[in-house]
Amino acid sequence: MIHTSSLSDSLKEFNITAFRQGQKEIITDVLNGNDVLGILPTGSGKSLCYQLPAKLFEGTTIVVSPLISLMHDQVKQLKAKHFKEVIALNSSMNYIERKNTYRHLQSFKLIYMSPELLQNEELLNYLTQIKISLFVIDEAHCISQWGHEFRPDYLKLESIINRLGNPPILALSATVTETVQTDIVKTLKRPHIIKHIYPIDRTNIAFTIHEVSDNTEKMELILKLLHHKHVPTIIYFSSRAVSERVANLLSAELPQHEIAFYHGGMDQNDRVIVQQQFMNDQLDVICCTSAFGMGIDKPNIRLVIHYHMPNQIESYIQEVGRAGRDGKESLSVLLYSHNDKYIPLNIIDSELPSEDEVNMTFNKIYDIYDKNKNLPSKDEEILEILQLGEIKWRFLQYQMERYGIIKDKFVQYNANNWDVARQNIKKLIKDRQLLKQRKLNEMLRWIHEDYCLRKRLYKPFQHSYQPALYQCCSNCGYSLDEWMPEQKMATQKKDLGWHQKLKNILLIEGDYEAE
Amino acid sequence: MCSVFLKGIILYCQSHIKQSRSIFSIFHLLKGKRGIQTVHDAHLFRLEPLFGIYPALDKMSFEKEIKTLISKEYLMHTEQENVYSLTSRAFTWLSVHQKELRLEYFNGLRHHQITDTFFGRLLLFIQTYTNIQMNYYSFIPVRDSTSITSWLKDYYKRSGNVQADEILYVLYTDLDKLLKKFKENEAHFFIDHLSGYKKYGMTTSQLSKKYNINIVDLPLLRIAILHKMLTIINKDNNQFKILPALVPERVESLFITNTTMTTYNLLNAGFSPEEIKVRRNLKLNTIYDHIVEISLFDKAFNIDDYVSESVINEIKMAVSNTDSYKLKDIKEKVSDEISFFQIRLVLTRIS
Repeated sequence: MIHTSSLSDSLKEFNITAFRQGQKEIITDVLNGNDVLGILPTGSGKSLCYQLPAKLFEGTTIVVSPLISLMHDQVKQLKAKHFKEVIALNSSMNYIERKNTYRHLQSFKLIYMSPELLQNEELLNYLTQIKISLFVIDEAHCISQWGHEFRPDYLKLESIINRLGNPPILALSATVTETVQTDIVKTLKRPHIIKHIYPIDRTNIAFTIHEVSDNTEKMELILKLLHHKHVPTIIYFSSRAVSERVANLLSAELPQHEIAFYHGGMDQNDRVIVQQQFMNDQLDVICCTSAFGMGIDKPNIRLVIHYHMPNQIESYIQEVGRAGRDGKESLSVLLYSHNDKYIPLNIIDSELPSEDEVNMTFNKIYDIYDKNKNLPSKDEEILEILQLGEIKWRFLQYQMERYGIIKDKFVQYNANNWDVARQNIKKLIKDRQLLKQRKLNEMLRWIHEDYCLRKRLYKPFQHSYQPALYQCCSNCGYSLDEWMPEQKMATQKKDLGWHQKLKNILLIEGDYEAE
Repeated sequence: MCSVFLKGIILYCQSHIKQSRSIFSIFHLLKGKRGIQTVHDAHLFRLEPLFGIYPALDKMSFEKEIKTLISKEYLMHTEQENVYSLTSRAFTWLSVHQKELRLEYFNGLRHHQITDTFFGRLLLFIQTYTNIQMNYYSFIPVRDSTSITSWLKDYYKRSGNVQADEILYVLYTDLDKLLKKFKENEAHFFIDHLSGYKKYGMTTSQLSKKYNINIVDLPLLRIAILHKMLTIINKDNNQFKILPALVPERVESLFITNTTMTTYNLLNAGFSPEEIKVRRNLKLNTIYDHIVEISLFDKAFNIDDYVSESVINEIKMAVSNTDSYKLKDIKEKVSDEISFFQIRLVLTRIS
């Protein structure tokens, strides 16, 4: 049991003066050793709910998160706040690094890892030898087949937690429907979990939808908007290539704006730089995919534009939720043209293996059984043999393990079992695709809504919502002229000589000239 | 700046390897593949300076460059798969543009293992000290690998009572002196990488746009500059106060691999290759690889134990007759009893 007086002391160490909504309640229950399910809106400081207890607990806190880049960001931020006993484990560590880290796991207060890594026997063996004070499941909706981002690896968490001696659980998520909440509790087998569920509606963001005929019109609209409102802006795209292209076009048209793109295909160092340039107001506009924004706590983002719509309401809520964290009036603009609905459809089709691919994979796995019964040890080799994308193979591999077709890289054949498995997997894929299709339809229905957009947006998630603080939405009537955010002053860009540039960076004052 | 840097470097390499090797030997050379063949090629074709100058190069980009070079008629196919020859157009291009490739900047074989660490240390050094100077301790580091951060911590401890502003001042004089040895726009290009207090440097794509360089060419320009810097700092490290400390300790091992070192010690202790084979439970060909590697790096190593004077002459003759370093071509021109191992060994002494 830890005293609440030490709570406020620890707060100071995180450079925080007061708790935000829900944090204190969740943290108190966690510190008392209870299992907790916490649903808090994006940007409300979910991570503090385990970071602070992790610092106070004697043992180690484990955080499972599907977002590897987010884990690394958080570790960096924690270290910057002088919480040093933290680490994000990843599969790219070499043998020596790994051994070294695994042997000293108990020296960390907070360990981030991906659900895939947690399947690793070697790591599990080390983990069973240390004292685990808290097991955190971030993005807990991934556990539910009905969630918008189901991850098969999450289903194994319950048995892993069991093996680790059943430490208290903290399951966290931002946007989940009631069905998904129930599913989380059921899958984790903790019926007495304490639920802390907070409303996710944001009263300072106005929701607007613009239907356009084509991409040219989208560009015109964005240009006009950015020209009139020079404010920190995120523009979301569903394609990396388009985000780059539009960033370049906008830079050419808006010389006063600093514009960059960001997506998961970029070099790790460059990703950090772009994020920090934006945090630092060196950049005004980021053109990005959904990879950008998680873990970014920039208070003054004023405008979130969707060049492509997200493929589900949950993603939309999270993405627009990055605007106006300082409580000031902010705007969401979703651009929609008739053809856009085909883009997410393509993505849905490409995420899971097709029927042909399932058959082909079964045949090739049979060939392997026929030859030597062992899958190659390296993933790249398997993918090469199967001619399958990594995401699709991960899915099939998990399913085949479930049906005992593959066991520790070893193929086991039983004609009857294989037939059943093949049929069930195909059905599962169909179901998943139907679910995604349904999610997409919800999104489309909302876009074509005639009634108040705010009311309809939050309806599936909570019983009521607060009225808008400023303007509400395009269906209730929105006027851009009435929105007067603080704008960035136009500055004259100076061309400095390199000596002066170097001096500026190194904080050398005066006209000193090096000899 | 140079807008076709990588293509130019590939053409230059091709002009050296001619038809003796496949185009992918250039890929391995630029990536700095750890293997005796690639290192040997670097020596044989006098491409040591370009060894390992582009570790981040991926096969797809490389193949794309090759495709363009073929379609623009700089490279043409030969009868052999993946072996190309330069067109007259390529020779003309090289004679006009070769100086833009900054070949004299590169020193790959010497610097390839330390370049990235040196650069990372410099970036983090500047970011850290400028933030310390402003009493701001919550910045997100631009480099965060433990090897770099722990080096900086050590440096900080060792420089204990020296004030941050003094360190920055000395570093400024160092960098100013160093950058004066570069062209104006190279200095600008380099400085734009640097991050300081509440000011982050530019990303690859931002630099590419500002300096009008292809993304694929950008790392080459950066590494060219870094290699020249390392060479200047090494040559006269008395004129710099801080920069020499940022240069990583070179692993001055004579040989590329440890396993070769073991073989070398056994040879020196008087064991024959066959005995070493048994002792180390390796294949004889592996031991031969080691011996070739030893001969390559230790010019004092005596190859007479493995090839007689007459065999050496025969091989040398075959090389000049075929005008090729291709093992198969040479093998065809010499007596049957001369082995590939012997040919490779003699080749280490020709360049």
